[in-house]
Amino acid sequence: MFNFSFINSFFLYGLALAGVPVIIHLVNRKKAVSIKFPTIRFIQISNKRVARKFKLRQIILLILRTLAVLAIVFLFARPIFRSEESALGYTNAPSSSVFIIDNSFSMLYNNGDTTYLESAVTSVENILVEQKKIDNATILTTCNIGEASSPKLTFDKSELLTSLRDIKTGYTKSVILDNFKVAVELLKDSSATIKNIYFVSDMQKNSWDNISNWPDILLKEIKEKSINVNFVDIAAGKAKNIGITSVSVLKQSKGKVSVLNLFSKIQNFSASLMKDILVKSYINDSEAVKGFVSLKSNEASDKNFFAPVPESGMITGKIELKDKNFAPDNVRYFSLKAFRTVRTLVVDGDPTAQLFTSETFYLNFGLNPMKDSYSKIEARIVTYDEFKKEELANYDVVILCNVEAVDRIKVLDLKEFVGGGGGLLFFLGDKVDPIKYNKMFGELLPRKLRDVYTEVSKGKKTPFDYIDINDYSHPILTPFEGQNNGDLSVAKFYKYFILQPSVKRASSIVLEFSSGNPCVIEKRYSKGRVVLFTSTADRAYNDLCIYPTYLPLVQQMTLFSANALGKEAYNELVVEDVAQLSVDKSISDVTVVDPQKNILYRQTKALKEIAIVKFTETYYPGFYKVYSGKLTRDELEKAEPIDIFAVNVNASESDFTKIDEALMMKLFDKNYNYITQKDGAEKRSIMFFSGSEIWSTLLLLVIIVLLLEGIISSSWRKKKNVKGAKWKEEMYSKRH
Amino acid sequence: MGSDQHLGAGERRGNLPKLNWAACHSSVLQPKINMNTPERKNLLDPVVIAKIARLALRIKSPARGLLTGIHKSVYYGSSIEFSEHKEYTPGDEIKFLDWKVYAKSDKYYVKKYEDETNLKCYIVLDMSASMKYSGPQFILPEGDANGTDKADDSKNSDGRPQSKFDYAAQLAATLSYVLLSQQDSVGLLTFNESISKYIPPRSNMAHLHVILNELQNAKESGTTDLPHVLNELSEKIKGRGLVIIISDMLDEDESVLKNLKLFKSRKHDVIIFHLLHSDEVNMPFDRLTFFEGLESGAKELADPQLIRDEYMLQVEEFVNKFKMVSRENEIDYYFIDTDDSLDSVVTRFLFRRRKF
Repeated sequence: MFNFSFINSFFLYGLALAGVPVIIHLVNRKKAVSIKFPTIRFIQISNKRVARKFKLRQIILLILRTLAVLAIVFLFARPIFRSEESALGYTNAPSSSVFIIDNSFSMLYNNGDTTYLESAVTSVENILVEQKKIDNATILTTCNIGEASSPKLTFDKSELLTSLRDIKTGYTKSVILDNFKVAVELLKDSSATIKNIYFVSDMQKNSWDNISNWPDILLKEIKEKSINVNFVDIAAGKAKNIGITSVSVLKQSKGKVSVLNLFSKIQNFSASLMKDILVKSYINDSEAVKGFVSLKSNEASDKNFFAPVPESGMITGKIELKDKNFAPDNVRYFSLKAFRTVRTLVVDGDPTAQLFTSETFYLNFGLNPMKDSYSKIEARIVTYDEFKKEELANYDVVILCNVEAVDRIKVLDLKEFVGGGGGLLFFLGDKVDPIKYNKMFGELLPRKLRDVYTEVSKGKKTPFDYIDINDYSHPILTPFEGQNNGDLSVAKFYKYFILQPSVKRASSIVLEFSSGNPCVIEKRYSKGRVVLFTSTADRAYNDLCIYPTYLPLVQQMTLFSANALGKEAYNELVVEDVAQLSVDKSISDVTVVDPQKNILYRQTKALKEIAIVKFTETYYPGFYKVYSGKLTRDELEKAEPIDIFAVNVNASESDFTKIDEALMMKLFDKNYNYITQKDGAEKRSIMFFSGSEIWSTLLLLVIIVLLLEGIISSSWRKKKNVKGAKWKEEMYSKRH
Repeated sequence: MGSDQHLGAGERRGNLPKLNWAACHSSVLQPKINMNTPERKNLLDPVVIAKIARLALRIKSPARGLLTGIHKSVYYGSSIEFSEHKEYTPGDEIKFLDWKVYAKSDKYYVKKYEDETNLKCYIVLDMSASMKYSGPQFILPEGDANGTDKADDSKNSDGRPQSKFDYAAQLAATLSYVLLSQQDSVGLLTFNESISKYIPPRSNMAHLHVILNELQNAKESGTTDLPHVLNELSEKIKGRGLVIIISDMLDEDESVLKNLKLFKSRKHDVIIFHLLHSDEVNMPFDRLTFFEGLESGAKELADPQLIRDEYMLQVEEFVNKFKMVSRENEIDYYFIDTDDSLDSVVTRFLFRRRKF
C-alpha cells in the first residue's frame, strides 16, 4: 500500500547504530564494579522481587533507545513517503530527460580531487545508470563552438555515456536560455509520462544575467507540460579563487630607456584573505619580472610591472599568478609589435650657413623634436657629398630633401636599398628639375614629375592651395583621424609639383590638395617603400612646417616608408571578441592557428593601402598566430607568423557567487527542484515529485521517544538522591 | 610501625587536657598491639569519655555482686536503706530485731535492709567477617578509573576507614570503662561461629587494659553463630549478670531470637546493640554492582538504584523483627549504624538506663 524511499540513502548505513544501545547495555554489565558487602541476603531477596519489574523496564528502555537511534538515522536519510500506486506509477513510467551540462570554464574549478565538470559528469552518469530501458534522454552543453547540432532524445545509454565523457570545457559564454528552449521543445513532443530537465552546474550567478527576462511562454510551457526542472548544484561550499581580470601593455619611455608597462588587475573572489600570491610576468617565454600581491576578501588591486623591451619584432608574453583552485584565470596573455629606432639619413640638397634657412632645419626638428628624449626616429643630416660616402645599409630610411642630382651609382645603391626593404622619402624644392628627376630615379619615383605649379599675383607668392583630406584610411593618416587630432588643411601652399598621371596604378595617393593634385604619394618598390611629398620640407613652398601637424606627418611618412608603423600597445581581446587584423595589401589569404592548434583560413579584405581580416573564432584563450597565405600544417612549421594576437578568458567566470535560489524557485515554482549533492540525484528528483518527505513526523517521533525514555529512566534515577532509610529516623524519634 | 602507633588512648595527654583519669591510667591503658592485626587506636575516645563522665550504667534487676557497688543487690545487707519487716525465725541475727515493733505487737520482727552491690557485666562482641565492612572497597573493571564512590566518610583517626568492628570495639571499650569506673566487673567475649576469646569479669581498673588489648588485637573472620555462642555463654555465667551483645545479627533470625529468649529467661539483663553500617541501611550505591558476601563469599549482581527501595524494606523488616522480640522479652534493644556518633549513642544509652 505504501512505499518509502530515501533521499540520502547513504545515511541508512547508520542503521547499524541501532545495536549501540544493546552494546552499551552489555558493556555496562561488563563494567559493573565489585563490592565486598557484609551480607547479600537482602540483596538477593530484593533482586528476586524487583527482577520482573526491572527486566520489563530495561526492555522498554532498550526498545525506546533503539527506536530513537533508528528514527534519527531515518531522519537524516530523509525518507519520502508515497502510496504504492503513485510510486509504482512514477518509477515504472517511462521518462524523458534532457541534461543540460554547464561546461563553461568555471567548471574547471578544482574542488579537491576533482573538477566541477568531472563531478557533473559523474552525477549525470549516476542518473543515467538509474534509468530504465524505456527512458530516453539527451545531453546538451552550455558552451558550444559553432552551430549547435540538432539534439534528439535517445534510448541508447552507451551513446549518451560516450557523449557525456567527451564533454570538454568551453571558454565561450554559457547559453542557458537557448538550451532550455531546446530542452522544452524536445520534451514537449515526448510521449513519456515523466519529463525532466537536469541542469548540472556550479550555479554561477554570472551565467544567469538575463534570468528575469526569460520568456513567459517558455515558463508557461514548462508548467503546462509538467516538466520537472532539477538543478543539480555540484559546487559544494564556497569556491576560493583569485584571478587576473585584465591586462594591458604599453611601450613607454623612461628617460632614454624604453620599457614595457605591464598593467594587470588582480581580484580576490574569495571570502578570505589571499596572502603573498606570487605574480610573474613573462616576455617571449622568458621570465621577466615578478612580485607578490595580498588581497583581502573580494578586493581588487592593480599590479604593474616594468619589463625591458625586446629589440624588435613581435612580443608575446603573459602575466601569471599561483592559485591551485582555478587555473584559467591565473594567466593573461598579451602581444604587441615592437619597433626599433628608425635610423634615418636626411640628405640636405640646399645646405646653408644659417641653420634655420637650411632645407632640413624643420624636418630635423620634426623627426626628432627633442634630442634628449625618446623618439622612434634617429635622424642624421648630411650634404650630398657626404651622402655619396654613406653606407645605406646602416639606415632604414633615406630622405632626399631638394637634392638636385644623384649620381648613377648612388641611384643604383638607392634602388638596391629600397628593393631590400628600405624606405625612401622625397621632399622636392627649387633644385629639383622634373625631367632630370624622372630620368634619374625612374621607377623609384611613385609617379613621374611633370611641372611646378604656382600662382603668382603681383609678383608675390600667393597661397592658392591647401590639403584636403577625405579619406583617413591610409596608415600615414591614422593619427589625424578625428576632429581634435590636428588639421592639415590650415597649412598654405604656394608652390608644389604636379605629377604625371599613371596608368599602372602602382602608386597610392596619401594626401591630396583641394585642387585634386597629389600632396603625398607612395609606392611599394620591391620590398621597400617610396614616399613622395610634392612640395618642400621647409617654408620655401608652403608653411606646413610651422604647424604642429607637420611633426606627426613627417614622422608617419618616415615610419611608413620604413615599414615601422604599428601600435605599440596591447588592447585586450577576450574570448568571442572579434580580432581585426591589418595585413599588407598584397596578402589575399591568411592562415590562423589558434591555441588549440586548429588551422583556419581566412580571406583578406583589401582596403586602399592595407588589407584587413576580421577573425571571429576567438574561442580559446592563448596566442593566435597569423601566417601569410594558405598554408598546410607542414608548411606552417617552417613559416614565420606575420602577426600574433592574444586572447584572454572572460573575467566574469572568475566570480563563483551563486545565483539566488529564491529567484529560481519563483521562476519555476512547483516544478523546481534544487539538489545540492551529486549522488543519487535521479532518485531524489523522482521522489521529490512523486512523494512527500516525512521528516517532520520523524522528528516528532524522535522527540516523543526521547521524552518517554527520559521519563522512564529518571523515574528510578530520582531515588538515587535518597539520603537514608525513613524507618531509621522514625526509630530514633520514637526512642527519644 | 613507629612508636607512636603503639601509644594507647591514655597516653594522648594532649587530647585530654581536663581528664585526670587518662593521666592516671596512662600506663595501665596502654594495650599491647599484635603486629598481624589491624591497628585500632583511640578505642577510648576522650571526647566520648568526657561526655559520659557523670553518667552511670545501671541494671534493671538486682545484681549478685560481692563488692559494694551502685546496683541493688539480691542480698539484704546493712546499708541504711530500709526494705521490709520479717517475722523472726531462728538463725536471724538478733541485732536486726526491731524492738519497737516487739513493744507494740509482742512479736519478734527483724528489719531488712537493701544491700548495694557491684555488677558482673559480659560484653559479647561479634567479630565475624561481616563486621569487617568499613564502606565500599570497589574493585573496578579494567580500564575504568572513574570509580566515584569512595568510603572516606568515616575514618579512624589514623585515616583507615572505620569498620563495623572498629565501631563496636570502641563501644565495648567505652562501656567497659564506664562499668569499671563504677566498680563493676567487666568481662569480654568475642565470637564468630564460636567463642573466640573469653575474658572473665574483673572489677579493677587494670582489667581495662586486658580488655583493650583484646579489642586491639581482635581480627574479624568467620561466620556468625550467635545461638551457639549464647548457649556457651549461659554455661559460663554463674548467677545474674548484665549481658551486652554488640553484633550485626547477620545470622539465622529465628534461631537467634529463640536463643535470646532462652538467655533472657535466665534472669540476665540483656542489652543488644544492633550495629549495621550505614551502607547496609541505605544502599547508597549508583552503579551496577557485583556484591560479594563477606561471610559467605557468594556473589550477586544488582543495580542498587533499582533495588534500593526493596532492599531498605528488607532491612527494616529485619531490624523490626529484633526490635519486637526484644520488646516482648524485656531485652533492651538499640539499633545503631556507623554514621551515629559514638558519644551520642553511649550518652543516649546511659541516659536511658539511668531511670532503672
